[in-house]
Amino acid sequence: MDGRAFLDVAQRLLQAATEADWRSAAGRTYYGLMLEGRAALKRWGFSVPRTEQVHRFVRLHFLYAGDSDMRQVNQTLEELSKLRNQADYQIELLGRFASNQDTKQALADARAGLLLLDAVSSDAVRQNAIIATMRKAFP
Amino acid sequence: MATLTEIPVTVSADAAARVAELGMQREFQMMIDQLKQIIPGLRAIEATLEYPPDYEDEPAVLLTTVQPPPAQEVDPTRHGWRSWFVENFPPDVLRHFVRLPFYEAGNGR
Repeated sequence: MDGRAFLDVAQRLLQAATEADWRSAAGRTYYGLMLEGRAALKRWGFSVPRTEQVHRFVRLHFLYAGDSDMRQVNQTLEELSKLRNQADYQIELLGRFASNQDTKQALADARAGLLLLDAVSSDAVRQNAIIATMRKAFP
Repeated sequence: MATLTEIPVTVSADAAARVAELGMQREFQMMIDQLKQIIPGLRAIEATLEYPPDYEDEPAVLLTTVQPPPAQEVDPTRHGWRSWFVENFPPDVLRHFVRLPFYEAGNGR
């Protein structure tokens, strides 16, 4: 399966009625986009770590891609990562998970980020320029 | 609605220390000013230092904007902020800061 399938799971969880569902949706949302980013980097020939360092690897490569849209995907991943951390670890605080609103907005961000990523993957010239910039930043 | 100067900004001690360590006080203030400008009904900004709990990474200064739920299906300030942020700072600054909205329906949490 593709990472983006997790975004559909997140959508279903957002339609459920409990805090635990909305917190779980935050996690699926982050992983949906992060795994699509990882898959893109693999397709582009990068050797992606198999350990927990993969999170940082994906985000930093996008940040230093020399492309405004890729920096936006990086930022979306940064935001989703922080939301996921709060969803999974700060369970003593109801906070932003009193409703599904925060995760609903985050899911919209993830889908927008995926469109930006797909646009790069469908444009060979732009993709090659991004790959070259990333390789220069991470020789 | 609060005027821009009345919007409370709280910065935790460790976040302030991190910003100082990075030498990015000017950039940090630019971010605070921009958030005040672009978010209708902004109630507060809280800056904290966040560490990822289950993977290896450096800490980030998290800017939480406490704001009313958006009137639209998708909150336009999210994209608006992201666009401004990535256009105005280099990656070496971007990597240290993250903004995350907190939608608060009433006046208290």
